[in-house]
Formats: sequence, structure tokens, C-alpha cells
Amino acid sequence: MIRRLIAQNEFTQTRRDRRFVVAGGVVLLLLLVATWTGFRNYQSLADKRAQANQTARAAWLGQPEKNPHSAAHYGTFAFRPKSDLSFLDFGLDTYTGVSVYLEGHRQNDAKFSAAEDATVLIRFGEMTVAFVLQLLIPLLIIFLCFSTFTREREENTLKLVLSQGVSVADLYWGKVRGMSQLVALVVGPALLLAGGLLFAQTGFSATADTLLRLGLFVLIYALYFFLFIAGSVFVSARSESSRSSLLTLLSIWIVACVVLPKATANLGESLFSVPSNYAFKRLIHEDEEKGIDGHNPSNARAKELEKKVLAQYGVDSVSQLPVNFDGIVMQEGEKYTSMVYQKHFRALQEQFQRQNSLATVVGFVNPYLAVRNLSMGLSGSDYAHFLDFKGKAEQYRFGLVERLNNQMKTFSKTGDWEKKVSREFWAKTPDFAYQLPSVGWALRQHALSGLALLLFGGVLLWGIGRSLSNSTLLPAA
Amino acid sequence: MNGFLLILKNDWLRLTRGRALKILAGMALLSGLYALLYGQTYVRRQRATIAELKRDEQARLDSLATWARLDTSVAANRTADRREKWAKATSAYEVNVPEGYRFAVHDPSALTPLSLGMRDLFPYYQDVWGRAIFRQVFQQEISNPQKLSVGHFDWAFVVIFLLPLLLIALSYNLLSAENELGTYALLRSQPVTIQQIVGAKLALRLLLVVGFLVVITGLAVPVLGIDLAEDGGLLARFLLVSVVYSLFWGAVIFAVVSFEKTSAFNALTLLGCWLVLVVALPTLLQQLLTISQPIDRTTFENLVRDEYGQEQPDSVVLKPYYARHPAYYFPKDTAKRDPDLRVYYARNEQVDLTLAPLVDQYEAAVTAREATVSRWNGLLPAVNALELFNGLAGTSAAAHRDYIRQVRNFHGRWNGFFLPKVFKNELLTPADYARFPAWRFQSTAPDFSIGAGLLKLLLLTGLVFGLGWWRLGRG
Repeated sequence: MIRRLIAQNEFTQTRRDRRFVVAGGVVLLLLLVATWTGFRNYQSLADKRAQANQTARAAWLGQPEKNPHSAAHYGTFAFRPKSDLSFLDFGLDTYTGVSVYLEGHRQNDAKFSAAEDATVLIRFGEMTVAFVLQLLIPLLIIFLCFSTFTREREENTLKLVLSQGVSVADLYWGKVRGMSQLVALVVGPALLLAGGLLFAQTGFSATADTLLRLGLFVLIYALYFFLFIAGSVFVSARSESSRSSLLTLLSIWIVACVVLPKATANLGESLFSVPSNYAFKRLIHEDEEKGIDGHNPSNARAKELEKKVLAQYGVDSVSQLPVNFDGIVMQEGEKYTSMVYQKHFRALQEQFQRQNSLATVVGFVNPYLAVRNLSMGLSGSDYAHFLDFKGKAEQYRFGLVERLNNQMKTFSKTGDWEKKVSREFWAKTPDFAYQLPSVGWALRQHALSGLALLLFGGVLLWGIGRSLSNSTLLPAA
Repeated sequence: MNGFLLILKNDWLRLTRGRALKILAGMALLSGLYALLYGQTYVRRQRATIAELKRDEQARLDSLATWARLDTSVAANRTADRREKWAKATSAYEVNVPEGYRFAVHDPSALTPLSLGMRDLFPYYQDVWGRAIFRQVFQQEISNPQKLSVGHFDWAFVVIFLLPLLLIALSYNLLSAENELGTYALLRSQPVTIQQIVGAKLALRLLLVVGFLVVITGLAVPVLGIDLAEDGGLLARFLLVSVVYSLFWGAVIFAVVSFEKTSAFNALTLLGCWLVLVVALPTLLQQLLTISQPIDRTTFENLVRDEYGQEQPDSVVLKPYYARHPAYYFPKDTAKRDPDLRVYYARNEQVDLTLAPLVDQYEAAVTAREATVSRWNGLLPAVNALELFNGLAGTSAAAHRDYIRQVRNFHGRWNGFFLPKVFKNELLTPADYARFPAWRFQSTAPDFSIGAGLLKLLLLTGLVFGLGWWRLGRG
């Protein structure tokens, strides 16, 4: 009861403060603008990519009659669809490639990231909902909370309140509750707008997975804000003056939200180096050289394969084979090069994960980093989702090329590169359709960040609780 | 005058005796040194790759030149293996495309480690072959997307993002502290105006910040191995931009302090200014740009699709090609060639001609976006300063586009040397190797003008400072 009264008092007092109206209004405005612009941007990109996927499919289906292997070289494209929630958090979407060119013999990396089209402004970040929630709301919280206790001390009302029989714990949690209501007042309308846009975009038939992702998104930010509020009110209670409280909180914000994210990423990159594109391609080429070349069946591996196939069909020469040996050679080559590419891409991705792990580990002491990872994971715009897309595109590519090679193997004889498949054949090849992984999968990718956030929250609340029970929260009281 | 000096001396003593200056100076020095080392490490890795590329190119061309000198009249040199190597080394196509391709390198400038700019977003080398150039450019260097999203912790970041915070931390209470300590009345009793008091205290802090800038810029000379005789002018301009940017923040502090509010109010307002000018406005403009000036590269698929996609018969491709290049047309030369590479070049040129309008459209769209940013950067000092830093370091998007322009020119020269020989069916001679077009990168950094950007920054500084002066005068 008393806590509710204190909360009500904090809420009413601050709401009437002109400074809160201005600061809260600006943040709310930014949040609404970020939601709207993010949604517009999302819509435009999602439409373009859907169109591009259709165009790529149409180009594939519209191919004239040709040799299946020429079709493998012609290839097709997989454009990465935008996930429903990515308009809230762009995550790494701007920096990862948009499309993968799927062709025979090689795995291409995703190309044409939006960051390459950007101006110098990209170095300042993007005003997304996540950006406002992760960076600006904590700042608003600091602004609201830095003087909650110190002001009372400076105005000599703290002792008065405590002399009325109010416990320090009641006072503390009452203030935390009041501040939480104020933050909800600012964030609520934007989240409602975001939810409305999300439902409108899915034709008011969002999947359970999307709803769960949105629910968890809200929950994680609610916890993040609560921790910031609890921490800021705690610092205010422990500080001797509003000035020192403010400086402490601002220093924490600058280190946690500006310096550490950059420093950990930069240090990670310096500690775990990756090869240059030139060296990467050379390594792949060297490994490919060790195996058979799809176009050149004259090396040792090809001979071994030839021996095996001849024995399998019980004939003496490839000309006697009832199938096209070139098709077999190319499929075996595809398997080998695929293995080589997988090996090198996996090594590269593992190195990137090592670089990123530094930020994940620092997330145990910096909730900003943990929330950033969880937020983009739930929005489907993190590196793990990108890799999932790339993996599925590669599976599709391999299946497509395999189908073309098998067609080559069965419909023509060895050495016949002129025989063409009819146009109907293209329509029989399946289209690429990317399915976003489940929310459970997304959470598993960021289990460590989730644990970091919970652990940080637990330790912070335990420390505050201990301080309250030992009556050491207010040094001057 | 004595009173004025006394205020300065007192202020200096207060600053040096407190813990804040020591902590802030330590943090600033640490960030500055880390930024230098980070920039140095980053560029050192790129230089190592460039050296590797140059070694690869040299080894390939040396080997080809050696085989081109092979005396085929000697019986011992007529083995199949030797003849094949000699044939490759004397084939204009083989050297032009698969064997002798060159690396066009975007060499980092001496100042690149200070402001890495867009250097991680764009490739800094390109292998140039004789085939269609648009199928070669638009490559990406391997980078961690998470790292790309947070950007660099380089000296430009320290100056643009952290330095204003340092200055704010040193100055937010330069007048309010007097009030809060009860010394304001005493101070006002001195024969100096309030503008002089605030001006002097601020000048002292600005001097400290400028000193810090000079120290780190000075340290950059030995750490990064900057040759002052060659790049001293560029470095001086870089320092000038950082000093003027600091002056701008000095003016902001002067204006906020002129309202004579409490320390907490000043700290919050100044952080608000920093947030708006360094974070909110640039990110908001970035977001608005993507909506108001969208760029669609989903249509770029043909830039990477293999030339196998071309279905037109050879004669249909060759006819317009010869019309464009009558010097390559030899109607009397009807001898069959195996392989006939003339159509290869005709097809590749057709690819480039088809893609050129698409690329031009794309480049115009990017340039238009940059023009919008330039129009607004008068009100965005942080963006303006970063553009100036990147321009001086040769790491801007415009510098990259200029590099791509040079690559395209070089591709023209590279093909211009070999194509006449291919069409005349001439072999390369050992002497030709000394005449191959070589890549020479021309940096845009030395000619980069900071005048307009600096003027905008100075004007804004003057305006904000004037506001503070006026406010204090009124009080």
C-alpha cells in the first residue's frame, strides 16, 4: 500500500515536471519516428526482395533449351526475405549481403549489403526502435532517476519521510515502481504502434512464432529497463549529491553503451584475425586442386572414379557406359568442392563467432550487450539468422546442381555436350523458399546472452536487496 | 588584468588538485593510444595482404616473362610441357586474362590509420582481368558484420565521439561550481566581466584538450611512421579540423553555461546536445535517407551472373563489336582459330555496355545521397568533421568511387594493350613484357579541400558562441 502511494507520488510529481514532458516527449517522438521509418524501410526492402526472388525464378523458368550443365553455370539467385520483426531491430541486416548467386562448382558469399550504398552517416548507426530502446531509454531513465533520492536529501524531505515510519525498502521500491510507470508511459505508445504495424503487415494473421518473438522482445526490454531503473535509483540513493549521482550514471552509460560495444568488437577483430578474400580464395583453390575438377576428368581422382564406375557397370571404357560419365564426374566434383567450401566457410564463421564471443562474455557485466544480442536474435536480424539463410541457400544450390548433373548423367551419353533438356525441365526444379527458424532456435543461439542478462539482473537485485536489508542503502540516513 | 590571471591560476589549481582531471586525462590518453594502435594494426594487416598480392603478381609475371624468352629453336625446349608454357606466355589472351591478371590496389595513405572511414566496407584491392569489368568490381572484402555494425575505435572516433564528452566533463560546472561552493559573489567582485571569467575558464580547458590533440597527433608521427616532409601538410590539416571541432564544442559549452543553471542541469543539457548532434540527428538522417532516396541493388544480379548466360550467336555479337572497333576488323583474315577468342572479348564488352547504364544509375543514386548529406552537414558538425577526416585520410566513399573509376580506366588500358594483338593474331614478345600497362594508384587525399567544411564548422561555432556571449552579457 505504502509502496503504491510512494510510486503514485513519484509518478505524479515527475509527470508534472516540464523537463520530463520535454525529454519524454522527445524520446517518444523519436521512438514513433523510428517505428514508422523502420516499418517503411522494412516494407520497401521486403517488397523488393520478394519481387527479386520472383524475377530470379522467372529468369530460371524462362531459360531456352540448353545443356543442363550450362544451366548450372547460368545459375539463379536467392534473395534473403526480411523477417517480420526486423523493422524493430535492423540488427546486422544492413551489413550482411542480400542475395546469394547459386551456381555450379562454387559457393558464393552473400553480396550487395545495404551498407555499401550508405554514406558516411552509416558510421553513426541507424535510428531504429532497438537503437532508441537500447541507448536512449536508459538515458531517459538516468535523467528521471538520478535525483530521486538525492533531491529529497538536498531538500531535507528524506528524513521527514523516513520519520513517518516508511521503511527504506518501501521508499526504494515505491520509487522504482513510480519510475517504471513513467517509462511505460513513454515506451507504451510506440510499442502499441509497432504491434499494430506488425499485425497489419501480416494481414492480422501473425504466426504464433512471430507473436512469441514479439512477446519475448517486449519482455527482454522490460527487464532491461527495470534493471536500469533499479540500478539508477540505487545509485541515487547511494550518492551524496545529485551531481555525483548524475556523473556516476552518465559515466556508466557512456562506458556501457558507447565505449564497450566498440572496444570489444575491435579487440575481438584484432585478437582473432580472418584471412583476406584473396587468401581465402587461394586456400579454397588449393584444396580444390587436391581433388577432381568437374571439367577435367584426367587427374588421379578422376581416374579412380572412372575405375569405380566402370567396375560398377561392368564395362571396359566410358564409351560403353549406359550413362553420361561427365555427369557423374561433375557431381562428384560438386560434392568435393562443396566439402572444401564448407570447410573454409565454417572456419571463417567460427572465427567470426570467436570475435563476437568477446562481446557476449562482456554481456555478463554489461546488460546492453546481452540485450543487443537477444534483441536482434528475436528480430531475426542477427548473424545466426543470416548463416541459417546462407546454409539453406547452399542446401538448395547443391540439390539443384545435383538434379542437373543427374539429368546430364541419365539423358545423354559421355561426351555429348550438345544435347539439351526441354524448357519444361526448368519448371520441375523446386523453387527456393526460405523459412525463418523457430523462436526456440533463435533463443538457443543466444542462450549465453540470456543467461548473462538474468545473472546480471540477479546479482544486481541481490546486491540491492542486501543493501536494503542491512540498512546500508542510504549512507547519510 | 591581475584579477583575471588570479582567476585563471585559481581555476588551474582547482583542476589539477582534483581527481577528475587526472582520471579524465588518463582515460583520454588511453583511448587515444588504443585508437592509434588499433588503426596501425588494421592498416598493417591490409598492407601485409597488399604485399602478398604484389609478390603473387610479380612471381606470375616473372615466370611468364621467363617462358616467353624460351628459345623454341633448341630441340631440348620442344617438349610438350615447355611448349605449352611458352604458348601461354606468348598468348595475348592467356596473359590478359587467366595468367597475367593484375592487382589494382587502393593503397592506404599515411593518415588512413587515423580515420579508417569506409575502408572496411569496400575492398581495397581488385584483380583486373581482361573480361567484363562490371563482373569484377563490386567485390566485398571478408569482414565480420557485427564488427562492421559497430565501426572502428580509431582516432577519428575518439575525436568525434569521446572528445566532446571529455570537454563536457571538464567544463559543465565551470560557473555553476562557483555558485554551489559559495564563491560566486567573490568572483563577481573582481574587476572582470562574466564573459571574461567564463571565457578564461573555458579557454583553459580548451587548451588542455588542444594539448591532448597535439600530443596524440604528434605521437602518431613515430607510431604510424608518418613522413612529415611528405604528409606533414595533410597531418596539419587533420589536426586543424580536430581543433576546430573541439572549438565548436567549446562554444556549445559556453552557450549552455551562459544560462547560469545548476551543474546537474548543465551536465544533462550538454549530454543532450551531444546526443542530438552526434547520435540522434545523424542516425535519423541516415534512416530518412534510406526511405526518401532508396537504392535498389536487387537488379544487380546480372553483374555477377556468368557470361554463359549469353545465348546470342557469335555473328550477332561480333557485328556491332566491329562497328565500334573498326581497327580490330580484318576481313581478309579468315583463317580458323582454335580457340577463337575474338567473340569472347565481343561478348564481354557487350556485357559491360548492357550493365553500364545500371551501374551509372546506381552511382548517381549514391552521389545524390552524399549530396544530401553535404547539404545538411552544416548543421551536423560531427558528420561534417568525419567527412573531413575521411577525405584527408582517403577513406571516404567518394575516395572509393574514385578508386573504382581508376580501376575501370586501368581495365581499359590493360585491354587496350592486348586486344590489338588478339585480333591481329600476334604473339607476345619478351620485349612486350616491359611495356605492359602497370597499375598506379592516385590518391584523392592530397588534393582534398577542407575549406568549405571547415568554414561551415567555424560559422556554426561562431553562431553558438555568439549566443552564449549575448546571454552572459544580458545577465
